[in-house]
Amino acid sequence: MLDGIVFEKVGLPAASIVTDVFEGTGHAMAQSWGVPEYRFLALPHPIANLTEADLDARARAIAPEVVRLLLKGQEG
Amino acid sequence: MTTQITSQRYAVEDFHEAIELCYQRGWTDGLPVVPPTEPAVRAMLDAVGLEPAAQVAFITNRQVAISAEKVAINAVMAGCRPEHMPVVLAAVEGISDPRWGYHGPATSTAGAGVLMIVNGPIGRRLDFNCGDNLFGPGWRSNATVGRAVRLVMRNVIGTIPGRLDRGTVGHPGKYTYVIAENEAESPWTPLHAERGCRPEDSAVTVMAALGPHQVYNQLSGTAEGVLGTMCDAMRYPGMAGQPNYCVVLAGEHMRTIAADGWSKSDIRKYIFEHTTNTIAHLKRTARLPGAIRPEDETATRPLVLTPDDILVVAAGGRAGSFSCYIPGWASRTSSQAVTTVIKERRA
Amino acid sequence: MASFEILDPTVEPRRQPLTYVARPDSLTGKRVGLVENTKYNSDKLLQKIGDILKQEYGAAETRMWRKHNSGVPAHAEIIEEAKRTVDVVVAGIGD
Repeated sequence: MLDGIVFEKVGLPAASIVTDVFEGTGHAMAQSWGVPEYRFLALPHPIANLTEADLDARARAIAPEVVRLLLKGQEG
Repeated sequence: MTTQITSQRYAVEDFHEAIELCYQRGWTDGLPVVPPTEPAVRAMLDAVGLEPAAQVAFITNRQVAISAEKVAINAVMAGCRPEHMPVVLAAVEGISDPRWGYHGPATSTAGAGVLMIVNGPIGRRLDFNCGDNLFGPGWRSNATVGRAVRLVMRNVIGTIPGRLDRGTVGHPGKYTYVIAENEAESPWTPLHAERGCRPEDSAVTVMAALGPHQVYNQLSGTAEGVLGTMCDAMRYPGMAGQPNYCVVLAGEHMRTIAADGWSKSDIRKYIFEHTTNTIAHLKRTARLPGAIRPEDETATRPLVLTPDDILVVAAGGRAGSFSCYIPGWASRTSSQAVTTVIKERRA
Repeated sequence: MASFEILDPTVEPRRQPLTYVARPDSLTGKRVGLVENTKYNSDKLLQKIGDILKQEYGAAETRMWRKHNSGVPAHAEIIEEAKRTVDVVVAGIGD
């Protein structure tokens, strides 16, 4: 999650993705870095034991949100 | 003392209200804490000659500055006395070291604790336990110094279960996980001297660590016999990678191994050579991903990256045929043990 | 017993507002950096997302980097290369 903040700081629009059980952790990290309202994306957990077909489905589901976050950013 | 204490203050009617307030505000590890009054906090700072605003450490991955004042408050809460402050400070510096890599071990679902190994004269002076019931309760120094570090982690760095501490099962060492090496009875070079300190210095080594695994061997009268059992027990990795490991050799085993003339270096080498796994076994038991190929049946992976990644400590009771191994966290490239010299006074 | 005061052991994080650079209007022709955190399937999943960004949103290309480990941010070399070679970054994912 932190990578998104790091890349924004160097001037690159970024979208961070975590798995959903870590949303609270992501928000706590953002708070620690002084940007408690920082937006990032979450997809269902876990991903380690997914099949190829499952991974395709996860990618398909999240891609529009990735695009929205990249184009609208934190204030959109 | 020239700078002010700046922490927010809470008025309480009495001792019991103070303890309850600390609970209500989420400042404890589940056990009651000693209410941190200004005189107690100042005594901590005076003992080491630090101004309240002095920065002890900075956790880069969290953008958190740790002040002497906050360490002192949490040390009082843990039940430390002023003479414990130098050890607490050295341990906080250790976990703030980029080589320890704070975020990984403190946040990970692997639930590592902070194993703290105390060496040098401070061990005896402050009565850090190095013998019977090594990891168990009963010694103020072991209990409170580790606890102080955990309270700093919770209250200052935000390492709170469910938020920035996602240990899935964790382990009891996350209350406190402090031992001293039994330098008086050990025939070997103390850990801190092996790691670059002068033997007359006091030091604390912090290692991100899972729980201790006990190993029993009552029948062997040789180093190889004892360590063979140790290796048989410890070869199955507790993590996906190759972290540091700590091997704690208690009285009987220590004497058996030493009687065969083995040094700590001999011990490390033997353990390194006798804890390999085939890639096939690691894949079969889902520790490594991927289909098993024919060459995997003979290709091997050692438990640790190098023998030096095994920390050998002589500690534990004189009686009993038990020692233990302690897996570290993740891989040594993600977090490694750090040894910090304990400075009695900072000014 | 007389009343007394206790001191707060916690630290409030400082606010450090970020100024965000302008977003692109679309991903058409844009180069997408993918930064995977070394966890199982992170690289595969990010690549699949990257492929969708190319096939359906007009991104020109994707480029993948692997971090040193999941507990640290992307290291300096990745950041420098990304600044030179991509227009947007997607980072993540697994445990």
